[in-house]
Amino acid sequence: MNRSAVVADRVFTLSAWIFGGLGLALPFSIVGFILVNGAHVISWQFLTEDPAGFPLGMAGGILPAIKGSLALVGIGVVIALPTAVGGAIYLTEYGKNVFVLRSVRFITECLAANPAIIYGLCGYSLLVVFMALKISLLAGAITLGLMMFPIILIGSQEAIQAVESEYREAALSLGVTKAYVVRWIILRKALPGILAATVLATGHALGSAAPILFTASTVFSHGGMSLDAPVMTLPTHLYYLVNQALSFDHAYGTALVLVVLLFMINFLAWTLKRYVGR
Amino acid sequence: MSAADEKTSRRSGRGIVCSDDLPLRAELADPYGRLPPLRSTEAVLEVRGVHAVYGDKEVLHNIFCHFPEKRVTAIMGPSGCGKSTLVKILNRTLELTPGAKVIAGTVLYHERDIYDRQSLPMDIRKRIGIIHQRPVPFPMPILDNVLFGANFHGLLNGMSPREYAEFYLDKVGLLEEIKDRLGDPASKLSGGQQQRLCLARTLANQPEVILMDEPCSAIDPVSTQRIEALISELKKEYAIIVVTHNMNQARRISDQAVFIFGGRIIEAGDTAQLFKEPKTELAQSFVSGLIG
Repeated sequence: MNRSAVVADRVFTLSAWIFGGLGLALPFSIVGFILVNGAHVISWQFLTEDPAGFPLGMAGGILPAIKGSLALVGIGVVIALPTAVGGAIYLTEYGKNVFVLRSVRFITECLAANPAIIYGLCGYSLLVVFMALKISLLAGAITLGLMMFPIILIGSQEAIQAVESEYREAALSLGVTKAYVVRWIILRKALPGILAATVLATGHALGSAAPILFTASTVFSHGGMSLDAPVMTLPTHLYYLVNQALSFDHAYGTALVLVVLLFMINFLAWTLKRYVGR
Repeated sequence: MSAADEKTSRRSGRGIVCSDDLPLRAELADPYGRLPPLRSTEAVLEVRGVHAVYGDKEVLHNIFCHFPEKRVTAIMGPSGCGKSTLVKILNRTLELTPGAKVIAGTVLYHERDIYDRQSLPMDIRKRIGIIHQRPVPFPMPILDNVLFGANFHGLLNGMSPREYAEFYLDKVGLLEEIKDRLGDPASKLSGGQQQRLCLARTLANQPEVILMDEPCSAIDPVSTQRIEALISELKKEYAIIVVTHNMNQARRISDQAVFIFGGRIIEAGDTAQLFKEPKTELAQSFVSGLIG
């Protein structure tokens, strides 16, 4: 047998193992690092109390930040998901003009790659100042919605496009309308992909401090929430704690809570996926 | 003469007569499109001078034929000859394929032009059902699969959904096998069962004509046998048009047959007759297994 081919195969196999190992080690080591540094801060008190101490954040908990982050992302998803999926349905099922379709897709891809701070800036100038929403939960949620929109749209479009055309043909052959087919077959088949994109976008939004820094966040709130008031959030709280060098312990604790929340959202989506799209 | 025809005639080494040169049997087709097509009083569907294209490529040339009630017509011919295209023009599902369309001629359904402006494709597709080569179970339970079209068209008429679905599952002989798992996803059924489920779904739409586009080519021999038995059973109630490239199947199941080659009808008529005494050399080659 060709010797160099054997050597090349071994080198290839070895490098595949090395990079595979690296791919596994990186996320695990980051999570492990946060776990080691943050686990001892986690307590019932940390999860259920307001921040305390002087300067604020040295003691107490992060409950308002957890609630604020979840509310921001929750409302953001409610805004982004239907609009993005609607857009994806149009692009795949209804749009005919190739130029328009390509332009929309190109711009959406650019938007998805935009740095989060640009969304923060736009949210601030457009929502907070121009539309006079003030720094508030609503302004932040809309900003996060805008940030999630292109990610969900691209993912949904891919998922809808991946539904074999046989389904459309077989269903339309029964004399039903296109809307009926989209509602009962296409969306059902594409749902796992749409969920995956939504989780990706949610994770992205949950962890971003930049878009909410100028639009929604505050250093301290009691956790009572209303749409027109600012909220505490996990990433901005983390940012303040580190930036002002207040408490690295609490910063790691906050990071750990953030990571665990992301895990939980992923797990929820994964469980949902198992029950749909079959 | 199309390129495909020419190739075949060169290969066989003798002049194979093409449809352009030879009159066909008048009872089914008019090769020249000059004569008014004969109309059978029992014809459900009648194709008149249809030309169909995919993009720039013409795939059906001047097709004339008709399909009687409560009989099985086989459309046969080698792969790529236009059989599937012909069957899809009969219920306006050809236009679901991008770029495909009928550019001339028309199809009459009970003497009504299905390609005129007043005809709604949705209505035509409900009345003239089709099942495809590969079974396509929808991503939902078996029961909902059967009811997919029927619910939309409001055909249940006060019957309970389960009762309605069971009636049609029974009709295709599937009920006994899956009675206890009507709530299971349809994708869990075997290929042959899926094809019968698709048939039940089409029947639940209460059509008058059933088109089948190579219904057995993706399933095993035992399931094929069941589908063939079903066809003979169903012809008591419906006009059935089956596309097949398998001439033995055509011989087994059909009352009349249309032989297509290169997008043209070469020969058509009573199945037994056509197999016994093909009038054209092309049909003879097909029947004897030289081509196809």
